[in-house]
Amino acid sequence: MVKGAEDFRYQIWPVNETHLWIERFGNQIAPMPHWRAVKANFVATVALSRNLYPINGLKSENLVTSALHGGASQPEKLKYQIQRSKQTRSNSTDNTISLVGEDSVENDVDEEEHGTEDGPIPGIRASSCEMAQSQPHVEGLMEGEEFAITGMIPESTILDTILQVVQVLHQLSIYRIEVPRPIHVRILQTIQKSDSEQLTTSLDTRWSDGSTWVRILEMGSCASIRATVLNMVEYMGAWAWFDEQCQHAKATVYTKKGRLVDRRGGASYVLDMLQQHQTGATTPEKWISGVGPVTVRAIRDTANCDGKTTQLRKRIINQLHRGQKLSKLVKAVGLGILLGPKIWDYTKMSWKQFDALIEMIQSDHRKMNLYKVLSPQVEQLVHQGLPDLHAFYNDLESEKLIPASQVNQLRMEYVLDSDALPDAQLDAAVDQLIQLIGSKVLNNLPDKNSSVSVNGSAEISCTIFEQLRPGTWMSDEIIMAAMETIDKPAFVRHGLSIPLDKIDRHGQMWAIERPFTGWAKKMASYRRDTEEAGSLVYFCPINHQNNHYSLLEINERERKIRHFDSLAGKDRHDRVSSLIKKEFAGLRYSYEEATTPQQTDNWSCGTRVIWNLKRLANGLPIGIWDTVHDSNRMALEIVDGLTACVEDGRVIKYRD
Amino acid sequence: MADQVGDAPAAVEHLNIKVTDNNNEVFFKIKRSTQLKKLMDAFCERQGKQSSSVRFLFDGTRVRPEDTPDTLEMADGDTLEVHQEQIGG
Repeated sequence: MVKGAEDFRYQIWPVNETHLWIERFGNQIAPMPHWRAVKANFVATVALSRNLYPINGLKSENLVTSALHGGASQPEKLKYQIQRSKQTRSNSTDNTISLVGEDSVENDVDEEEHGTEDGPIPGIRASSCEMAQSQPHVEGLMEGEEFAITGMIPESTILDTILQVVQVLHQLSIYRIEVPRPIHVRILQTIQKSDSEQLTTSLDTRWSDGSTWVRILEMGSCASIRATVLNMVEYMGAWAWFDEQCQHAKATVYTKKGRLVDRRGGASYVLDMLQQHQTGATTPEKWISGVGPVTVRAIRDTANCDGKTTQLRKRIINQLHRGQKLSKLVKAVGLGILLGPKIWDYTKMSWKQFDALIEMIQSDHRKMNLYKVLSPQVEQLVHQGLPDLHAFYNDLESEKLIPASQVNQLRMEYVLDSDALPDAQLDAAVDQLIQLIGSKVLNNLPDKNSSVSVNGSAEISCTIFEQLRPGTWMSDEIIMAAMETIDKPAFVRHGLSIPLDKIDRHGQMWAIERPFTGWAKKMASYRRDTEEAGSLVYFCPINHQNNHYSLLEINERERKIRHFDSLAGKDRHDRVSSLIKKEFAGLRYSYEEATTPQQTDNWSCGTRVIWNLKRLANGLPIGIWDTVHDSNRMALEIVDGLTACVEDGRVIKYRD
Repeated sequence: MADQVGDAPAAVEHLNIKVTDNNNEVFFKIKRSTQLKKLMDAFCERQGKQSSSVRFLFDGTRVRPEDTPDTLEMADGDTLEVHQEQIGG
């Protein structure tokens, strides 16, 4: 970097700064700009249609490149990148357009990102941009070169790339399915309802920790990443077919002059055929029974139909182009590139740039190795719907792509639900929560006499927060407190844990004959309070023999009763099922022992009841019988929810 | 019931208090100044529960044995909720 040149900006085209002039001198002297403002979209389209993505703008290219050669840091590059994208675009378009004010050109960058791409990978793109800004330097020289060749897109360092890849793999491993449709149905219902009944809903408004919404958003963005990878596979498949058909056409199809068609002719022949099959209109005739073939010219002649077919053709060509590039890329570099953070940008490059890119990647053995170890991940994703993050970590290590210490850092940072969380980490979070309650709510450290209310709950003794520690059994109070913090739709009601047994004066345990009577009454009163009959969903923890919790769901909407037991067994199932028969027979709902991930320890049932409730209440899946969730990690989520609750002032002092 | 021993002068106001757990409702008539410990013990005795295994809540506030209807500002017809302490893993 040349000293003093840090803030240097290159300007090829004069910038329209008329507004500055007007600000200073008024608009009497300044001539009004005589050029016509162009919509941002149009500029982008023109730029794209000329296939210019740089290289055309040779002059600016060289200038910027030489400036970068000293090893400029990433943020500066980003600045250059934006600037240059402006310049190149200005270059390519004619004068009128290039003189559009600087600001509006800058907007184009955004416009184009969102507007002209029909299937981007939002997660990847967003994060890659972020990364570029937050992770400066490393490998200055290399980057300079890459930048020079690829033009538009500065290549990131191997570490950046790995980090972005790990983020994506991590996301894909955690959020394995897309957001279940009932959630969308429910959201729509809520939105429509709150439009018409804003007054009543505002009364119900209550605080919750929002973690479920983060989950839903992550699931959504993950689904689009997954879909994108699959789309790319589809493009490649379509391209392979198309390519074959073109070869075939070249050998069998003749032009009007009786010569065999060339590649171009073959391609358009295949496309024509494809389109005709698609629209089902080889002949403009239709067979109508009893009448015979009837010409339906009207349908074909409408502009509407034409528009549709052109659109379709455009779309297919576009996708075939992508398929062609992707096929070439995969052949040269490996399947792993499909998970590369910039794959989408690559497909948009000009061929010249694209070839340069491939050469560049091939010459970088570390990148090649990275894509090699990524390939099985893509295969896994396609075959099983999710990648194998742990295997990727191991590969990173054995290929020595980055130092082992960095791999371990990644391992610690990007963990899966099944990875064990060290006790110390959960303990530290609980310590922090208790201290926070002390400093923020009580003004001194909690003792056995101090008590609080959590998000409007009944009085809760502060000692119960100790029960969030690893290996600790939970009381009904901490379960209640945690249940108060979760996000839930308005139709969900939850109650205090119901004991199935009682302890007498002599310490002896007795089965309670009708344990659900109180809960049934409460359900009846909830039902009276809502207008729509049969629209509520109730959740209630159940305590068995004062040593185990499970979760009961009574779902009016689906007319189902479900029992979720993290230590499922026949005895408990039989007992619950007969109690349900006895007390809820009147509802005539079906009863099932629902699929629940099982605990392998002897302490986490309370944690699991809360964790399951949190997901089930929002219509999110909890996993299957043998899904492994680390108990400490689940508990940490609960501690986090409570901590958020304290931080947002929703935990109030009762006594101290 | 338990509290009608030692009838006070007419000036002392009695309250009817409903005590309810998950499956029972029991009514008590007590003086405003009587410690609620008495009522709590009576309830547990009657329901066959260990008094250390339950907690009483009035309006979300935990009732201490030394509390009285006066200190809690209870009114005639108010309800005490009984929750059984539970643990599990």
